[in-house]
Amino acid sequence: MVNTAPVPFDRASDPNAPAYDALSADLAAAGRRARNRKAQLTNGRPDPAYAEALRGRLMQPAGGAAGGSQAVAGAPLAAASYQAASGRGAAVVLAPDALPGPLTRPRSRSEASAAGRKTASRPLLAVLGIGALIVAVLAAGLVTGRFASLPANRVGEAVNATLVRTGSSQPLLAGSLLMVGDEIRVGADGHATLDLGSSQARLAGGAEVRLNILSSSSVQLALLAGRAYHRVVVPTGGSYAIVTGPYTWTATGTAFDLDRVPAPTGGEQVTLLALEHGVAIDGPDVHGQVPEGSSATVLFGNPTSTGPTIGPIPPTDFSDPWLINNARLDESLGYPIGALAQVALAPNDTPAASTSPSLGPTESPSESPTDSPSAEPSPSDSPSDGPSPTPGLTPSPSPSAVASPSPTPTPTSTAQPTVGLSLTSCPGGVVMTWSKYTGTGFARYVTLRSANLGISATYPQAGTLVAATTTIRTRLSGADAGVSDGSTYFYRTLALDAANNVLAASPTRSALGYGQADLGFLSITGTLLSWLHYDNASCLSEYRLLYSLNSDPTLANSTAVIVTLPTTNVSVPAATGWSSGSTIYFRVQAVRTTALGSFVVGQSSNIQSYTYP
Amino acid sequence: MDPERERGLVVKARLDAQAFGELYDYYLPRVYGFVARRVGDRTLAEELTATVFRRGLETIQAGTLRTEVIGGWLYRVAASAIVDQAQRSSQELPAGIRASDLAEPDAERREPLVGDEVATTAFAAALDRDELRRAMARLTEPQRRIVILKFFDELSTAELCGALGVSPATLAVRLDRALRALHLAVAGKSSHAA
Repeated sequence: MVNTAPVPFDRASDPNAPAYDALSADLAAAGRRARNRKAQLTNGRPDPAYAEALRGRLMQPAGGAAGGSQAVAGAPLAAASYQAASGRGAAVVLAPDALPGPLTRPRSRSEASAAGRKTASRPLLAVLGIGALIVAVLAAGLVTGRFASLPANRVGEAVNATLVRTGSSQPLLAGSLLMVGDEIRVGADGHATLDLGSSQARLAGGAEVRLNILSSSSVQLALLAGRAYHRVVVPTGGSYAIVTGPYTWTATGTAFDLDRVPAPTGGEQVTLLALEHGVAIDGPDVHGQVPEGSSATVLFGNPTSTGPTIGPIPPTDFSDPWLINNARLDESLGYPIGALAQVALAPNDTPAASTSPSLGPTESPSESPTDSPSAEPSPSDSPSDGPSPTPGLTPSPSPSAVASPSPTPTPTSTAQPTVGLSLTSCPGGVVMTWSKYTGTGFARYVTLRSANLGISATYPQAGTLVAATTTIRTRLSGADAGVSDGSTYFYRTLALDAANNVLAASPTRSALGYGQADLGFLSITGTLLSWLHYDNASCLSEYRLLYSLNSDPTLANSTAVIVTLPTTNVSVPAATGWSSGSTIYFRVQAVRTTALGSFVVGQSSNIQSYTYP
Repeated sequence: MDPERERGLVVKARLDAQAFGELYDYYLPRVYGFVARRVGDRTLAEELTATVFRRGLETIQAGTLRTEVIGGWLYRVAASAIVDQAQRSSQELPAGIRASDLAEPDAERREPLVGDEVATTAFAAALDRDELRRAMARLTEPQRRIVILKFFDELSTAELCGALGVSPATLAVRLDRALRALHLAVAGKSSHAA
């Protein structure tokens, strides 16, 4: 039908062609009419003042500071000054003036505005009147509440920490831009705060992380060692996940703490404290939700590993200075602090730290994630009895008994056979994992995908596409490689009988699409090809080494060697069929396999060549 | 914008503010209009548009833009920003709803008109034939989207390809199918009525 040329309307042979043209004309006319309606005319075009102001904000940095790359997108783009551009009215314009000097330390939007609120100093109050300030505060609050994914990914503060980027190390500097693939190592006596979108990862001494995924709405870090506290703010549909070995911890709006240490009995042990809201855990032997106020411990790399242990957070943890300081910092930034509220910060029940509940940037001997400008205004101006401006969600009466609210259908629970679904966003595709349907009448699973939330429990269904299907009851995962970077997709798994009646339907889940990852340089030493390990366990099943005489080896035109984990090198294959002097080209790919198909997660940034001697 | 010129500007814009400025001047009204047609509220449209360009600038400067045709990419970022925002605001209303609740089965019923649906409603209202309006409603979601993007948002072919993440050939097929489906729905409807 349409297989010849990429012309928008290829239907020369279709007798209805004139009708389609007429239809196009109708539609174009309707489009014009719709755009020219009065409401669209006024609302559909940007206010020139707005356009100019935004332009100024965006242009200023590159024009002003031609220096280092970090200056380029630096301070002038900081949240508060930016608000002045988009806000309107005198009250809002006041906000930047109220901030202490230029925002040299770029920080998260909500953090900046929280600081802004607190630092709107009393002299200013006197001059301008309380009313104006309230308006400014409300406006700033609205702006931040609405869309919190503006800031870039940067280093908030860093002491004695190292950035490893593309193989070379440099000191980690506050304000510098973070990139996917960066690895951060904090010295034993150091600490660092990473502003990742609107979220923060606060790294304790000894922590090591790698940034696997950074997008406007989703973040994935690998915690390679040590401890990190996470204050998570992501837009809906996005996610914030930490990978520790075979386990992935995912939150969508919460605070939690993860500690990865060598286990006394061998292997490694990771302990999660779910401080505010639950955290999803995903691993080889577990898939569920750790509710707020709980602690989960997993052990891996050890033959005695036995799934996670979940229980209440031990009371002793609430006197941990690391947690107390992080909770105080959170509170000063206006976040609810969940499980920590009762113990750590209650004014008359402060177990370990007997200091006043206001934020003290210096009180932690080991770690003060707050020695940056943002924290300083707070102690002077935030008596903690002032109601902290809690955005949106209520400060967490923990949802009492939540064993596993999300899919995690325990096959043993007898009531009604169900099917669950969980998704893993990987570079290059989405992995769908559903749970086994145990009821009778099963004919197949179908996982539907849609760009919208409204997937009903019917099949077939217009507006959806089948992302995976199988008639084999024990095949429980599939791959969807047809995703675009930055798009959100919704999925729902149905168990069907032979007549396409729905036996069970999973909840609708969403995942973000990502482009493929860059595996870095494929190098060759002598006859040994080697590459860096792609440390994103939940997205990596194997490596694939492609080689051919073609200078652009693809799966289609090459021979593929499957390299099982964790090997990251392989010798040049024997020259069967190739003579001396032949040049062979190599490319390495990271591949995620599922029960139903696989996809390429990333590939080497270069194509390595080798000439047979 | 001429794709060649755009490619050059995207490369230059990594270091050159003027180059970014040119891209900005060309795309701001377009992206703003796209957003405004979907969110209605001016302040919100301004915020979201600012987000899009800010992200655009950051991505260009970081050198991580995977395409040198930025137009379609900007629309895509805008579309997901709109969805994010809509979900966020719908979620803010009922107190106590936690992020982990969002994916519950009945979450889909909470969702009012979002993004594309707003645009579709506005566009459908401007259609002068009832049967065309009804036919629009019978298109699949992707078909409707492509019609809206092309005829209401006036995306160029290059922008459509970028926004939908498809090749020109695939785009042509999809567009063609959408028109066929629409034509078929109109024809079917009127013959029933007659």
